[in-house]
Amino acid sequence: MKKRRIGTALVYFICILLTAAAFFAKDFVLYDFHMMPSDYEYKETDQERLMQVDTSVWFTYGSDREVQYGVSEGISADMLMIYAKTEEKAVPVSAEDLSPIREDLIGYVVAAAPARELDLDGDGRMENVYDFARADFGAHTYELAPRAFHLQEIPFELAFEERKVIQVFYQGEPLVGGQVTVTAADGGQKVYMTEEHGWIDGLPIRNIREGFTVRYSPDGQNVYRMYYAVEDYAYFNEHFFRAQIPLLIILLLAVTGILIVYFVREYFARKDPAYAVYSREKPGFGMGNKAGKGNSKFLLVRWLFLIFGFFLWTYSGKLLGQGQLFNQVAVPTFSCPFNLDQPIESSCYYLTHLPVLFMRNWEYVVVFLATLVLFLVFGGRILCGFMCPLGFIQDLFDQLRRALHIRPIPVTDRMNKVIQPLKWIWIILFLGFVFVGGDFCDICPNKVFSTAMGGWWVNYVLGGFLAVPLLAGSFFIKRFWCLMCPMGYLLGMFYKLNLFKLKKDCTSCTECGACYNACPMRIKSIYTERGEVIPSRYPFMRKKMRDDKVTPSGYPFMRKKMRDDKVTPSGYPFMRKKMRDDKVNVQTVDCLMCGECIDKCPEDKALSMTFCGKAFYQSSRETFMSKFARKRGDGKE
Amino acid sequence: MAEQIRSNRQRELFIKKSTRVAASYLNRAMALSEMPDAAKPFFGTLENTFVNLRGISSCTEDSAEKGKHPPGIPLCAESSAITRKHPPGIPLCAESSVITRKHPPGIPLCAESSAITRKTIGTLCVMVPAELIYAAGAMPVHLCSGSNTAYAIGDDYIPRDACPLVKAVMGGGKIKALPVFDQCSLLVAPVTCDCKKKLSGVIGSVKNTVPLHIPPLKKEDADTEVFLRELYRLVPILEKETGRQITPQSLAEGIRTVGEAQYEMSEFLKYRKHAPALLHGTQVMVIMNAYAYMPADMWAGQMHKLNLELKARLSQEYFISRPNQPRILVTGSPISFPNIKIPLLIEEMGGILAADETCMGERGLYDPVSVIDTSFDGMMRALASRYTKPCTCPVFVDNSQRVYRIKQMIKEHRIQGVVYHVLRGCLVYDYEYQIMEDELGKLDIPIIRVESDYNEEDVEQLRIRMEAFIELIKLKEYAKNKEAPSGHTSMRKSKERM
Repeated sequence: MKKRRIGTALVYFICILLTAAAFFAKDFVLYDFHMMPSDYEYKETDQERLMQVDTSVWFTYGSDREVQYGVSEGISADMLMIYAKTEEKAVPVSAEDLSPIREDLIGYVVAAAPARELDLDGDGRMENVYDFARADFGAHTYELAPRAFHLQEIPFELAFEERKVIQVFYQGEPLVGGQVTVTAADGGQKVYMTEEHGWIDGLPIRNIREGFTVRYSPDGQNVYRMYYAVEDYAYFNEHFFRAQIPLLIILLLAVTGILIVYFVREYFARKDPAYAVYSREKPGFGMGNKAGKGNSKFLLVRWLFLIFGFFLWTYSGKLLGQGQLFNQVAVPTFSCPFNLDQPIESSCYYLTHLPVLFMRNWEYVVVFLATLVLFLVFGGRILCGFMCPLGFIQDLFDQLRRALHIRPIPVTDRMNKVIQPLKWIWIILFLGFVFVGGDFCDICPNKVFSTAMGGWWVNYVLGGFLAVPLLAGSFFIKRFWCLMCPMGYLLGMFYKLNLFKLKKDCTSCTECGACYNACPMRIKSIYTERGEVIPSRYPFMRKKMRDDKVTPSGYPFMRKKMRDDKVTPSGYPFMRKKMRDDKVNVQTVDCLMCGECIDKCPEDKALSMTFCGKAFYQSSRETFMSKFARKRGDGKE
Repeated sequence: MAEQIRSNRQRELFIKKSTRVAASYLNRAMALSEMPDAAKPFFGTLENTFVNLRGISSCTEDSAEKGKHPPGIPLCAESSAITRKHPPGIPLCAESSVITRKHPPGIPLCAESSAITRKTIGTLCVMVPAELIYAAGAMPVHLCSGSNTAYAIGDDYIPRDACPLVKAVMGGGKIKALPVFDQCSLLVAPVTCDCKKKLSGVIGSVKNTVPLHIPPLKKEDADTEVFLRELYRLVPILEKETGRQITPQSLAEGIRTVGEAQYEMSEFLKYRKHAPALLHGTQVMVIMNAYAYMPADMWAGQMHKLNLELKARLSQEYFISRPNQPRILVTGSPISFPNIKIPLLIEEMGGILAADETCMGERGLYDPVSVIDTSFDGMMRALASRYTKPCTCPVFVDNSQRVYRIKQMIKEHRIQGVVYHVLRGCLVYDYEYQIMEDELGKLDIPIIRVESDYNEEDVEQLRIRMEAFIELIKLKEYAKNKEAPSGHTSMRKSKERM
């Protein structure tokens, strides 16, 4: 009892601490990638003119920290006016200032070609053409200063904002409702209307990386063009490995945390009389025993899915082809969208930044919400069990613990109740933090994994620190984060509508509790559920119906005759199949559909996972028992 | 001195009577038609234990094979250690004249074996993890006895209203004539029902006893935690007894050993479910009772042979019952050898004992250990969970799952009637009869409550009641079969009227 009170108090204290710390998240810096523009070399390109690109001046990025400029025929490099940004303001610089770059410059550079008269649209009339090119010396995923230059000399400019959109400025103001033509690196041209924030919406990240030109003509006489490319990094170069540094720091801290937890636990366990027994098992590498070995193919498939999901949300965007394929589609898994190499984006960014979502155009919002609802309602938490990259990392840590022969921290139902406030505080922060001026990404413990592993330089503040207890916790408690995951909770809320269901045949169950012990989410009802109509749940049920407990539960309004056990279903051929069998959906908000319970269930068909009513994975006594079978001869001796 | 003579005489009388009763029950169970050949070694084990009064041969199958046993002869070793322990002046083993019946061919008598014997640890109830005992290098023996003679002796030490099983255990401990009892160096006695609770205190005077606390509630995690502590407490005690340490590896091996028996049993249950039946339920009761006195791996090996034989029977459609023979389930108080009169009566009166839900029968072995985490602690937790949560023993406060279990068995085994066995003084089972009657009434399954004791005086009354019950089921089936066509005609008539 005393223990429990201490636990509850501790959890509330952590909740308050977390909320308080969230407001000062930016002050807790775990790792700050200093853009080092001085690493970059500035030189003339050795490439031929980018033929397709609709500009006379451009910047490209070389393979080894080079910013290369190129100009088309007719102008020379000396004629370029170069502007760069310091932390305060934009200043004109010379080419010498860029190689190496001057100390006070932060690496945003715009080159302006002299105004020329060209006939671009081919109508025989000459237009005044102003060409610009922009380059960033260093990573672009974080800001040290506003990206826009707002100079008189650069009336038209582009900036890379909100992780993945291009914002257009015209004469120092965001260009709203302007018609711009975007020429991609492959020469394809497309006309966009800019949004109310000056955004070009729907421009694929692929194009942004390969380089593109935006052409804008306010009056037909003056034509402004700007070339821009966001630097893209190949895997396994220096940039990629340096991105792993914060991850290594976090892993190091996590290992320290695990050691601390381990030794503190050992220290307190010494008072336990059972300690003398279980401490015989010394930690160390080894395959362990086969007593708990499952032989479920389903779990193997789940692992394959998890690995697939991890690659999908970390690397595949770049490997499949540049960047996102489906820009608007949002899948609610907990993978960090700051890694832009995702073919499909995680919806967590816009869920945590709801105002930003509504800054986008309505088509984007509609597709986003539609896909979100689709996944929420019909997919549900099966995404957590099968696709979530964070789930994969947690499962890896759990496997690591098993391999090391370290006993887990068992989550009792009481402990689970005690840590519930943590889940609520995460949900409040997840959905509401943005409305009080915060940024959930600053406290998100997941930010580090997808981004660092994908080679992205992202700065980690409080969230990076929170990743440490997450990892240490998931080492001792399987799917530790999932117990309090706000995204998972949102996903689970509509479990009754999900197409995937976890059903239990209550007559087959012996209540052995194996499913409950195996469940990482500690769902107790899975083994206590007996499919009985509990009258208190149905206050408006007719008394007659309430009186007898009958098996086909969940159908309190079914006719009594139908509900009665004595009635053979054959008498009611048109009764829906669902009503006829007494299988009960034992899913709850927490159920990850990971299938561990079915793997550990020794009863035939007691638990089954269904898709649209069709069972595709069932518990089987034969499969369960066969791991105990000994190879024998055919007994003819 | 006079005391010595008296007790010796009592012992002789006991041996005379108990061996005769055990032999007669074995004979009656074997006399039921068409016993599978592979079931004979199980009978042999019980014969050795209760008729020949030998100790448990706890050699493993492997070591026996190394000892160059002639194939086909199941092992039952007479260990020299037991012989030495045996009190002098008591006739030992098979040649004794008390066995009047002829030894049936095919049942092997004890063969001398050089195999190493393990220590045996006595257990009561189904809540003692056999896995732990195997892990400690010993062998568990269920001492829940059904011996009427031991019961008569125990009557002097236990109050009148206590249940006969407890008396028989006490009597067996006191008389020092059953090697099964004497062989055990330790008795692990779970504190379950009131009778067992006091027994575990009282029997401490004759046997080194460890009471094992069983939480009366089991749904909460805290309750399982309590039992887990008990198991951890049990580990050093077992180790001290056997001199071998329980390591994670040996525990995993113990789980595997028992799991193997459970696997064979789950295979066996598939054949048992078959209707018409492939073998008699009474013989199954004997087989299940034999598990109590056999090492699990040996039992599993024999069970495997039995399964093969049953498989052959099934493929040849060789059934021992007619399709319309009433299929009956026995549940309630423990039915332990030699007190198998209820199953015998059922089958002698023309019923088929298709399933049983008793602790000496299926319950003890049915649920396997589901190891979630392979650490030592994880395995211990799996044991603690397995030995309390699925257990349908009525000593638990909320035992509604027993009703579900029986409903499931009725469905799977196609049961037509339930015999609810209550031993006199067994309150916990008697408590649950009412619920069972209500629930089975809903399913329209007849149920009969049979109260009996460890004696043979009530056999004739029971026989009449069993006969009537079986007739009732037959009539019911007959009426049901008749009803269908008659209902059809009445419908036709009403149509004609319209």
